[in-house]
Amino acid sequence: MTTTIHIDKKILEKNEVCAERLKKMFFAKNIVVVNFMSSPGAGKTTLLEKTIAKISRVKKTGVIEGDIATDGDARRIESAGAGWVLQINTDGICHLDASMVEKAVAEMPQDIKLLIIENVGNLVCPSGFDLGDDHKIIVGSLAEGLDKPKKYPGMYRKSDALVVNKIDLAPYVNVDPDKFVKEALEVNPNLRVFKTSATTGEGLDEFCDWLTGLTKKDG
Amino acid sequence: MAVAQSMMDLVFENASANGAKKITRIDVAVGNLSGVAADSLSFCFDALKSGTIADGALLAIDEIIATAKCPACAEEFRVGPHDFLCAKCGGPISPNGGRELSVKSIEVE
Repeated sequence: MTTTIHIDKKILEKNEVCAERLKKMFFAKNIVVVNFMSSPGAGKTTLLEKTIAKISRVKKTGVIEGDIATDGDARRIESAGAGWVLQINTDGICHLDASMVEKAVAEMPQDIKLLIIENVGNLVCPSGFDLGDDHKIIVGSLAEGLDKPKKYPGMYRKSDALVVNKIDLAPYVNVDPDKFVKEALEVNPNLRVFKTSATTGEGLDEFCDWLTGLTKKDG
Repeated sequence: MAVAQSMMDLVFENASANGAKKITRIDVAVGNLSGVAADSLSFCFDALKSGTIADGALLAIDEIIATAKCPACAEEFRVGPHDFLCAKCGGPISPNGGRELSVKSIEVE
């Protein structure tokens, strides 16, 4: 005999339940959490290195590094002066999920007030997994080309801030930073935009001021 | 694949809670802006179902299309994954719906 079982549940509900638990915990401890996402090679880690070097004296900052393999990124961020760094290796999984973050933050020191999560480099899957964060930041580099915001709209729609990185390369890759911003804003008009070069340091102060000024109320 | 695995976890959890021996049909809703392609979900489902109690199950995907009403010109239209602006006046829009990704029901024996 055939029986119909009504389920009506979100497929990613387990992740959402876990993300909700993290959100409550971060709120109770007054920890601002940002989730950095980008394609591989957009410059997330270099941008973070330079950012940490600037902000670590202002705000005690923790970093979770998500990579499929290797721990080189965590060592770079540690050398830059982060208050706490933990490397997650996903062993082939192309994104971080909330349960990985929950396990990681169990080891986090109590005095961390800003937690930066560097997601696995991928412009697709990370946008589907909430990590209990307050802000999702998409790092788009000019070298990726002008078409990326519209080719990967899910990521740009889910984010609330955009860092256009590698602006020093504009003359060499033939991409106008303002046109890149225009493309991105057509996908998501609510993006807060920063233009940076992690190499020359241009635009970093403005980005760092925004990061250190974030409070739970902004979330 | 991670999404398909999560779908199967949810399906198996509910099937075993109801003492099912066999799953014959799975009804899911997938929004056209969810980032999940129906074809990919079916492909991954075929790979994951073999050797399980869902081996002979049909995966029925209800694709839900997002709509929008332009705040500037009040034009109402369907929104595809690559539509970012109002089809009539070119202004910015916020789509309604289209992000669904859920298991509605399963049929078991």
